[in-house]
Amino acid sequence: MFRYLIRRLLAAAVIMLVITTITFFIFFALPSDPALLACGKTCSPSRLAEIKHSLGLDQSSLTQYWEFLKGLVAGRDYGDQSVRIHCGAPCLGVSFQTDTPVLTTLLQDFPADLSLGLGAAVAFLILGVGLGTVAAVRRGRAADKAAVGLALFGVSVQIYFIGLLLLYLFVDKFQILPTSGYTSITEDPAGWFKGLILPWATLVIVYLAMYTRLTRSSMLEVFAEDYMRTARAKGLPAATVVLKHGLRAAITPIITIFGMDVGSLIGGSAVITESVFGINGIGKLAVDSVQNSDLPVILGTTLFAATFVVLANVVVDLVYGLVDPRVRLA
Amino acid sequence: MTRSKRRSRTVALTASAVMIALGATACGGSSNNSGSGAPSKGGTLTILDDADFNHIDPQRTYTTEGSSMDYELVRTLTGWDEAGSEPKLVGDLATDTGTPSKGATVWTFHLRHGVKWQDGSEVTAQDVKYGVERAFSPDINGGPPYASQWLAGGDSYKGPYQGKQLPSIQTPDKYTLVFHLNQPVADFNETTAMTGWSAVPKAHDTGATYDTHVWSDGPYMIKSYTKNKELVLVRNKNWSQSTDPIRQQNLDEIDAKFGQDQAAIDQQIKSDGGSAQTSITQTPIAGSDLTTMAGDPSLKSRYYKIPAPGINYMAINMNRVKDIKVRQAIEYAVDKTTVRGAFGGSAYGNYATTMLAPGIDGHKDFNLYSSNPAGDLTKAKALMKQAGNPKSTMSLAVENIPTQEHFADAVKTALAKIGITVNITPIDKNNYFSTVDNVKNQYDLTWGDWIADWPNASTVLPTLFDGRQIKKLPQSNNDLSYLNDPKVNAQIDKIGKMTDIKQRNAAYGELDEQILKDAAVVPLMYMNFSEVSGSKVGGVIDDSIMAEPSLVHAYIKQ
Amino acid sequence: MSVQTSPQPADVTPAPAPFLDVRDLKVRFPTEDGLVKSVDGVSFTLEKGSTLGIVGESGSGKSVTSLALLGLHKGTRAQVSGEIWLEGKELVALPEADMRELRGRTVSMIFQDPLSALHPFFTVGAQIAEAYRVHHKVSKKEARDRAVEMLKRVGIPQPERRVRDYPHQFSGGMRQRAMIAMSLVCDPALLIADEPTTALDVTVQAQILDLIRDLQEEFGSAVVIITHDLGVVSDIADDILVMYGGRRIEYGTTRDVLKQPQHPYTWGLLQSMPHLTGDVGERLNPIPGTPPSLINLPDGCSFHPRCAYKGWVPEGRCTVERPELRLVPGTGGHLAACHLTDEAKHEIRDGVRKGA
Repeated sequence: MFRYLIRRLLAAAVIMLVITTITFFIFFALPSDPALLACGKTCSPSRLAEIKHSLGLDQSSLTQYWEFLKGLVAGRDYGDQSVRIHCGAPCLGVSFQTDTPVLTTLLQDFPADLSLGLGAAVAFLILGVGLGTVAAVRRGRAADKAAVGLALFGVSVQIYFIGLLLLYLFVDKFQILPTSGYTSITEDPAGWFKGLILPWATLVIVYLAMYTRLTRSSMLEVFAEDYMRTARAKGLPAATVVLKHGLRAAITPIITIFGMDVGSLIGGSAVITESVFGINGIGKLAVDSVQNSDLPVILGTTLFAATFVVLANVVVDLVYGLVDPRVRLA
Repeated sequence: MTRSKRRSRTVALTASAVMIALGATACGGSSNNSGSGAPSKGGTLTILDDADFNHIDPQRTYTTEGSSMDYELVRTLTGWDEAGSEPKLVGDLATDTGTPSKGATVWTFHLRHGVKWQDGSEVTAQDVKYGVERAFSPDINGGPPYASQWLAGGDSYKGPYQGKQLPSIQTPDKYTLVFHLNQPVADFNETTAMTGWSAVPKAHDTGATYDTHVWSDGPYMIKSYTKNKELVLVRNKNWSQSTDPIRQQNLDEIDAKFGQDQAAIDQQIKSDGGSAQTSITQTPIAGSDLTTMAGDPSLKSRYYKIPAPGINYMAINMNRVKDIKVRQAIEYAVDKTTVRGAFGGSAYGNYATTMLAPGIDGHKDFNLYSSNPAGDLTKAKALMKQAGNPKSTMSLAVENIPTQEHFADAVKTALAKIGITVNITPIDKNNYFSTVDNVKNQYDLTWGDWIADWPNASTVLPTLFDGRQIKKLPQSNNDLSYLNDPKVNAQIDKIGKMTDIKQRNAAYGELDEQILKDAAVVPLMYMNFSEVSGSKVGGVIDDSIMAEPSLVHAYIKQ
Repeated sequence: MSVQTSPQPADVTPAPAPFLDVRDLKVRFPTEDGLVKSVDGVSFTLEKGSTLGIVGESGSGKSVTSLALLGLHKGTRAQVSGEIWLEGKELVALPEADMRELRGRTVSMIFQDPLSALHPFFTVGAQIAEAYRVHHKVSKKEARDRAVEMLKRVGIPQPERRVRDYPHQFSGGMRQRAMIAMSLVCDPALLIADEPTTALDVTVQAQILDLIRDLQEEFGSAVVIITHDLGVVSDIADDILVMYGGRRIEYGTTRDVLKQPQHPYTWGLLQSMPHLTGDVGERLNPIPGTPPSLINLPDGCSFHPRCAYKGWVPEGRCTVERPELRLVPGTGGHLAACHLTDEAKHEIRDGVRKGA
């Protein structure tokens, strides 16, 4: 088990390195020039060269990549002009745009993604599994059709539209909720919660569909299993049969997808939701960094998101091992 | 002024769909236009921006949003008093608008006494000199090029961080600044109203990270600034109204929040509920949101339609479209009504016939081509016939956003009628100008827009039509028409040396007309920028210099 | 049905109501293709301490019958009619909540293929303990002890350790033992074993059957064994009920049915049964053809399409007239449903023996 974990984590590290490398060289293959962007309008070639130097972009891309890798391990020092910026290991670089170490920014934005992603995930998992279970138990009846219909609605609407609609109704029109945005939970727990209700709801509406359908079909499959009949034959109450024996088995395929979703949500994939509700998270940071050709931030956000997806994979496997005793991690 | 944040928004269509679908109507502000009445004190004004300012380090700011914010924080040598009907240049840090030498190569400014930093120390001429010098450092990048272009010795100076000073800025005493220029600049004192011409105390300079540590000598100072999230300004107790002819200090706090989707911001302010009542936008409303909001009577009292010193145009590449008859035919053929429709209709701006917008010094009213904005096909066809009806295909570069693609379609349709096939080349909007400004990438037709850095033709025509920059600035050539006429270039130099304002303005007007005679460019619209605020925001001034809602007199209605 | 339903000797003084009395049980499943008549008018009785073997091919309705005894069709689309009397209680009309009280406690079941019938995610011990706790107010510890005790009773070595194992960690025979332990944990009065040995190899089969018999003696339960293999029930059952197409075709004491089988289908089953004593090379005679459709049973005798002897019955009666279940002359309660005359049967049986 422990050796398995070590091996998986090593493999994950290799994947990250590959992702970083690809991102890095794709960036240099693109026509965008961060130095030119920083230089502003009417940029003379000599000024451009100076800025290139100060951003470290005058070196070959291979050298830059090597420096980046060194920084990851040993940290780096930036700036030889107005200010020295120390970027401790693991140094993901310093933003061209804000002159802040990327890791600092990522860690600063992370609580928002964590709150948004985890909160929504817990909600859509519980609701989705609940609805899916009800649909499976009441298969073919009104409750099933309602749940499936609801899920279909969620899957067919745009996240952007739902977000604006919720914002309009609850904040602008009826003013039930305050203007959305992210407040730190340590600062103001109530504000944190209120500000996140609508973003959570938006993600729940969109993700609920998949979880309802997945649970429903997984449940129906499990219902046909012999051990479910055994459970009934023992004289267990219907609720115990469905919730203990049924759900325990039906949940395994859901765990895989849930793990991936949580990983990518926490890693900043909820960009549109972040943007509509003014939550400044990793996703928004990533989009902005692409717009600003801010290479260190592009690398940082990519690496960060990849970390969570890869970690989610490992966690899913570990959870699988816990849930299903037949699975042996080796 | 940089165009980097002057972007039309791509998402507006969807947003309006929501608003229309819900039949959204705002409750509407009850009071009349917010400029009137005595300002009340106190309250928090919220600024809602979809993105953070590129910079607010005054030497790095080159966006209208950033500059507008800076005017609350820092004072410039000169400034624009816009409380009256016309913007008026006044001394800000300086006692007056400066004194030029004969020939306008040496400019002298005297500073006001008693202007204080946020820590209570006095703002000195040395602070201003240091501030201006900072802009020469490659770390302090992004700002306008004027200091390095005009200050003598600027081309080799690399900023103050290695202990070197720029000798062409002299400070004979604590309150006197003398600038030695390498050429006559008659409107130098308008340049000095830009944020770069402000003071920075050496002791509080944090170099590349000064954006979040700007030291205030204005009415408000930074309380906290988390990049890409929130900037909070509070009263600067050491600022005094008696030394400041431009600003007021009515608010307790200014809170700029970044990162919310523009459509969501529009929707919020329009609905005017809760904290939206004390909020204002800075990014202009665009596309279909503009069409619906401009015509909404309930928004009238809090809708600011600000005429910008700017022009939306289509450059015709003279290297590629060599026949003047063809270029003139294009001038006649383009249907500006459909073009304007693509950008948001009449609220977007008036049809342009010149490159200098009204309100810019040097503007001359003329129209060389179709008097009907829809174009004159008969004339256009006749010109094509004179040119021998050449079969031609032309490329048109636009940004890859719906607004611009609609614009491109409008041009394509119009030119098809005179036998020109247009191939639309959409370019990633984030890299649009760095692509088309690079001389390696040339198109027959190129969309562009330009906002004057100050309302003077000197920041429009030389920037857009001096053909010598094609060689000098191969990666940031603003001459999208590739007009490189020695006569025009000589004229630009000649006007630059003129010190008589009237003579100078007239000459610029002539130059504008000359460029249009060459049919180097199709002026499309003089741009307006439209913003909205909540119903409790008062004292907002239409800043036609910055094309922003000026907040220097802003207050919250109690 | 006017015919006597019990195979027990009729001359005994009128007994009190039998422990289990199934009367004209019908189980039907509506489907898109039509009504599936899985069980069509089955009746039998069973006393405590005795064993009934229900024999038939898959699709004969034997398993559906056993599920009906457990009331497991309740809450499904299945339509159940008839009566099931157990210790004076009628189960068909019994509400689900009351039925649930009986399941596992009064009536319990050993399913075929214990690998799929045991939940893969719970330990064997937990599953046995759960079956106990649902009917007894005991602590987890007590239930666990009971599980260990039951495992020991069914002959699982080191039960204290194995109780923590998962089903996949058990061998096939041990799994079936565990399954039996689970079904007996509440001392049920009626134990139904559905193909309890099908998934097991031959030596283990015998052990399991011995175990069931031993436990039955110990607990005094009534046992219903469901199987397609007459060999399984020949040792253990007191009575045998042969089902075909959801109906009874032969019913009698084990002795009667094995010695004097009356129905060509039973003959077929007997022939396909490997004799432990017989020649190794003896050819097994599976019954040719496939089981009938339960939606459209063949007219007349539902076995006639596969019956080699329908020619012995004149005028094609087998294809048009459904044979009634009749008392075999000279027996106390041996019933069979076949148009063949006794003479014809004798002739055929003799011929078969010679030919074999």
